[in-house]
Amino acid sequence: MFKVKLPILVMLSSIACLVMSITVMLGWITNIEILKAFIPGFVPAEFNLAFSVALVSLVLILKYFFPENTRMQWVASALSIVVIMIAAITLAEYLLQLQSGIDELFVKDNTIIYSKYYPGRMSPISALCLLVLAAISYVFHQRKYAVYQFYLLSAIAFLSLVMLIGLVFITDIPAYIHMAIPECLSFIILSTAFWAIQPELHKKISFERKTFAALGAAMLLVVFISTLSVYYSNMRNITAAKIEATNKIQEEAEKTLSLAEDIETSGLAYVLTSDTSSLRYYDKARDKINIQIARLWSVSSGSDSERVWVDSLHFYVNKQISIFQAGIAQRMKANQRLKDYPFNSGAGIYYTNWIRETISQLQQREDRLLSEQLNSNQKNIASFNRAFFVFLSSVMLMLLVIILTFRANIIGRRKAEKLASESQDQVQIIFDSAPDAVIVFDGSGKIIQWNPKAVKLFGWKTEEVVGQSILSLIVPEKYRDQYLLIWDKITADPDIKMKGYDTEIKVINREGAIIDIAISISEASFKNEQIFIGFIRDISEKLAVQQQLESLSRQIDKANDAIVSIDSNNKIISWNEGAEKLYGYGKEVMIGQQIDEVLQTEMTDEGLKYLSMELLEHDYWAGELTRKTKSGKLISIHSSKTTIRDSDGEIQGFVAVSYDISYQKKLTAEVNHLANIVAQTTEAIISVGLDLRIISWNKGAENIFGYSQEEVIGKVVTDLELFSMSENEINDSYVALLKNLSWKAELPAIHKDGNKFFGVINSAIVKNELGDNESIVFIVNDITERKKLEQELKQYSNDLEEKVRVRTMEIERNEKKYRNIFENSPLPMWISDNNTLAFLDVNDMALMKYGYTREEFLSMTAADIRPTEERQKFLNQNLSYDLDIENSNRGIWNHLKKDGTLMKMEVIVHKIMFDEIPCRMVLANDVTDKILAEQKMIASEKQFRNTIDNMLEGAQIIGYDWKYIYVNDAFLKQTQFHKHELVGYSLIEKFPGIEDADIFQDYQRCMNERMVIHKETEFKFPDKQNSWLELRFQPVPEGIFILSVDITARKHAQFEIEKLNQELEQKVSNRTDQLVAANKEMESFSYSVSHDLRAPLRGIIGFANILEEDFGPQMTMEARRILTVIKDNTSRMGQLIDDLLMFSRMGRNEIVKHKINTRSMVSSIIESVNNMEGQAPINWNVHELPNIEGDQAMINQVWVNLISNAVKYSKQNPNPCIEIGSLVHEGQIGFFVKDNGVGFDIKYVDKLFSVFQRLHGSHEFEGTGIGLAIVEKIVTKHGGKVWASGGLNKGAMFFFSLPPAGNQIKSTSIMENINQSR
Amino acid sequence: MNYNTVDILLVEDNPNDAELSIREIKKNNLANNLYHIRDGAEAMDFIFAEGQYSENRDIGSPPKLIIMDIKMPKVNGIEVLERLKSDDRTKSTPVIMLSSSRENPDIAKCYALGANSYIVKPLNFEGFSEAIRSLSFYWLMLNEPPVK
Repeated sequence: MFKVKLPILVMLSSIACLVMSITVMLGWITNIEILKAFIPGFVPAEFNLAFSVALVSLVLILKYFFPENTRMQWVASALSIVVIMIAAITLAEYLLQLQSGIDELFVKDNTIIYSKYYPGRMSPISALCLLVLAAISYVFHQRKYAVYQFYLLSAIAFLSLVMLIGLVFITDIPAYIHMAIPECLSFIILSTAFWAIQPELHKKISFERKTFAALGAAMLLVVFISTLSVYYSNMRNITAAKIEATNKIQEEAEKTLSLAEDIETSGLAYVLTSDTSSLRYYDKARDKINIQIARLWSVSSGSDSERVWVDSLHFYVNKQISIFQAGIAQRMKANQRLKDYPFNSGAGIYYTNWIRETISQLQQREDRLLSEQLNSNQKNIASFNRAFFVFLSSVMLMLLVIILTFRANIIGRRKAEKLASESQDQVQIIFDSAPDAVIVFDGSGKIIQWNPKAVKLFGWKTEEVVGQSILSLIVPEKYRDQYLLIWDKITADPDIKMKGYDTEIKVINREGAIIDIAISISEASFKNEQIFIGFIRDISEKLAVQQQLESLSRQIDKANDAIVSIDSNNKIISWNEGAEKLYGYGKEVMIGQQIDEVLQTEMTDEGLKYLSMELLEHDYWAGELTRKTKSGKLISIHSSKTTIRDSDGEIQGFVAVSYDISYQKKLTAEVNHLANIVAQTTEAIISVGLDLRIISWNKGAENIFGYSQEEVIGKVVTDLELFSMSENEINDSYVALLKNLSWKAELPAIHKDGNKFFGVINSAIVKNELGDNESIVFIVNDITERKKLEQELKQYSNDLEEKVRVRTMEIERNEKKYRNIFENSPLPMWISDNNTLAFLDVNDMALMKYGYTREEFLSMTAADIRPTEERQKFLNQNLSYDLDIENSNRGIWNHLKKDGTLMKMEVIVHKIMFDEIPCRMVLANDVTDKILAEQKMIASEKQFRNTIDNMLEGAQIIGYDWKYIYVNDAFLKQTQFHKHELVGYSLIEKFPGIEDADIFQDYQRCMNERMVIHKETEFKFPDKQNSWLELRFQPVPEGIFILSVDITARKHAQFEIEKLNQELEQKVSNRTDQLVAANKEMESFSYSVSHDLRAPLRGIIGFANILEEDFGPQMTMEARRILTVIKDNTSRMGQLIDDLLMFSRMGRNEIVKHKINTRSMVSSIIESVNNMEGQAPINWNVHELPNIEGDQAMINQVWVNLISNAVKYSKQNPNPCIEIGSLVHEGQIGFFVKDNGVGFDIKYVDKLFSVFQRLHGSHEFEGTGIGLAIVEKIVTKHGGKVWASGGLNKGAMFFFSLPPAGNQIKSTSIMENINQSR
Repeated sequence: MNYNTVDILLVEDNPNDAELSIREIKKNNLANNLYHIRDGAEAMDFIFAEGQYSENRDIGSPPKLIIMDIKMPKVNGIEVLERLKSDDRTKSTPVIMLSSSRENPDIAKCYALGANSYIVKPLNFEGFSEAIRSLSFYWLMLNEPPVK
């Protein structure tokens, strides 16, 4: 916890000191007192001091935070030197009474303080502290200076603390040792920090030293307190004496005064009364007063000013006395005549008053002095009390710290002692239970300690050996000199303390037996004496084992077997003579070689891997290997390998022991071969010992007898009862065997399951190498099968004979049957010789058909019944025919009857043997009629085919294998193929890529799903020409039939039309765009007309107005009239523009249809026109008006124009009457506005609705002639009609009609409206 | 002249119309502090204290009323109105739009942009005079300006 915080604390400390120093320095630079001293009135810290403290703080930072940085340490050293210089020069100044100028080097000290002798100079204590601090920074981390550092730093801290306390509590510390608050604080902090950052030195400061420092500090404090108390008590004594003196002066002064008064009163009394008793008093007082003044003089001896007072008193008293003396003398002369001697007592009283005054002043002064003294006394006492209290507290605190430290130390010591005793016990235990014998002896070889193991090893008990010489005790005599030399060498070696010394020597035990030991000697010092500790281990056994090992390795070396050890990397480590013998390579060649590289083995990599796995798993592997020897021979070896593991179980390598087994192997192979033969043979081979117990029992025996090898081995063979033999027979056979050495018999044998069979037994005696009988071999063959076969064969031949007999009978029967068929066949049949073609047999039907007799027919050949012209062809064909024909063949031939009639005969030919001659049997059928019919059919088919061939539509038949079966000319024309190019070829090969075309799916659908498909499609032909075809797919039995019409021309025409249409559309769209553009243009035109045309007009009117307003009175009537004309015309122009704009807008604007309440629309218009001035009241007659659908604003305009027209043109009528109503006109809703005004001439009715057409001059009726044109335009836009009727001065009637809102509401809406209005 | 104490800002390119308008406004004693600008761009500068007015105009002291023609060269009145009414600093200044045209789109657009009135300059001058007078009177005398 503290360690973590140390850097922070150090940083804070140095920053605090830096801040304080910088504050002070700033105070000096800006001359602000409070910054220099921190508390007003206190001593200011000097600039040099603050500067030095700042440098020391920096040194602290550099030393602590950059201990490794050489450059930083350089800087720190440089800073320390600066500080040391400053402090040293200051101290020198004090000591030598010099003035070097360093004090005011940086700033001028303008403060005049009573206590300062040298402006700007720091106090000597501060300089000393600085010097010490800076010097200490040079010996940081050096242990040998730790103690000095500790004391010096403690002293600085302590001194600063005392100074700080002194500053605060004691006001009259001698001025030259005054230190300022910031410097006290900085010194405390820095000295503590300097100590704190050297933790490695803390250990060097023992408890005693700390105590010593604290006690020293406490004593210093006590001395300080004592000094202070002496100083203060001295001060008090002085003041007490002073008080006493003052009191005395006052007292004496009082007495003097009373005496002076006595003189006055008694003198005066005598003079007035000449009472001599008064004179007596007078004399007494006069005598006394001088003594009194002398006493006053003596008590005021301390102060000159007081003596002045006393002198003047004395003078006044003498004056007074002399006056009174004179007065008294006169009185005494004059005696009774007082009036004659008037006494001037005034002078005497005058002096008496002076005396009184003087004494009073003296007393006042003394009073003042007294109170001053009392005050200072009190202050001193208070200061002392405070200081005493503070220092006493400090002392108590110190003592408390000391007590606590003691306590901690005592506890620590106790703990340490306990630990020490524990560790001693532990050491003893270790010593006693050490696995080695431990002997401790001194430099002269005397034994000091001897542990139980040593007792066990040497037989000497501890108490027997302690104090004995080790040399004489355990070293055999003959080795003593030798060991002494070693001993000298050990003790002479300076490194022995560090390294120890190990050796192996021979020693002797109590019984006199020599033991081999390993001894390790190390040196130590104990109680400042050199001692040696020897650790001894008995290595006799180890040596014995070593010898054993050596002998073993010699044996291994000499062993016949090849013994090779190999390390984990398969490198040979050892190679014995046996190995050399076996493999032919010498030891020197092989060590370090890879064994498998030099001694090649036939083992595969997998085998090797398996081997090493086995070895790893079981630590042992034994098996056979082949290896190539030096001579290149492959030898078989038996090899056993064992892994060598170290104590951690890691494999270090392995040992292989191998010997040659090549010969053995060969033998084994042969034996195995034989054994295999024996084992696998089907004969039972049983070997039996002379005791008739079974030794071997092969597979054949297992098969034949059913007993397994395990069941019978070791059993007596006769007990198994393998053969049905009586005991006598067995004995006889055994005797025969022994006699003839072999025996043979055919006997019924018995299987394990009880079945009997026949066996042939061959037995023989087997002799060993010595010619003695060793065993008997039985070879048994199962001959049951053979016997059974023999019997079966017999049976078969009997059966066969019977079968042949039955067959013969059957054949005879068949022969008869076939003959019958031949004879009675309804079709002509004959048999002819294959070679001669001569007829060999013929049936009746043939004779009848051909018209020959049997004799005639049988005398002819097959060629004779052919037409002469075909005979040669028949003969030619017949020769080759014979080769092709297998069983039968058929064909249609022309045959001749005897009478020469030609017949179409369908002939079926069979190859048969007839009387051992290869013949053909012919069955003929007259198909003349059938063929004729067929020919007819073909003709008619041809006719159809021609039709199809010559059709304009293309026709094709495609087989299931996609091959063209039929194509007609039209199709060929369409496809531009020749017939031979298509028929027989498949669609796919002729139109490559068609499988991927969409149309192929139609082919397939038609082919597979047997459906009719109708399609128009475009084909690309090889010459890149495109054709449009209309295709009709039809399933037919052969496959599919496709009818195709070339519609290319039609398609082209169609495309042409489409293209034209598109062009037309393009044109329309272009035209529309143009129209839209024109509209736009028109719009902007009218916009600018409305803006720009109106602006000048406005100007004209405006300025005309100004003219009229400003200059009207000066103008003549005519001028004013002309002005009005200008204005009127301009207004008209404006109106014209507005109307024109409105008209054009009507043309442009889109109609937005809404339902319009005609009645309310008309009412509001009437309302607005009714109130026109200069108008006779109009008689309105408004009928029911149905609601309509239309553009609200536009229809409103229609009504406004019509109604305002009616009003306008009837204004000359004194009784204007306007009628508004509705009607149905040509299925539309019509309205009319009728007036009784001026009307119009019906012959100009056509011009009524044209733009700018007026039937009246504007002088009669104002207007622009656009109103009705607008009406016409709006109504027309709505799809309605306008018309008018009237006559000049007969009033006018204007009509307009609008289409009804929609068909479905046409009538109802009107009805509804009518209903509503009712 | 102090541009920060302008009562009426008249933006009008046609000198005749401007003269007539000023005359009418003066006639009604409303033109104590009338300032006339001849195009939209300058009006924009004036209103937003930019360009030539950046030195001597404070945007926080807008004119009490702006009367502005729609059809002007460079920047037209609708553009000025749009910028003026979309800026928080200026949108509370009342604006009267003047137009020679009764064309619908302009009227609708002006009101949509926040114009306070829209006057079609009538040909007959009495009408115009009346309109200007009553509107100026309303906006200057009767209407309480927004509290700053």
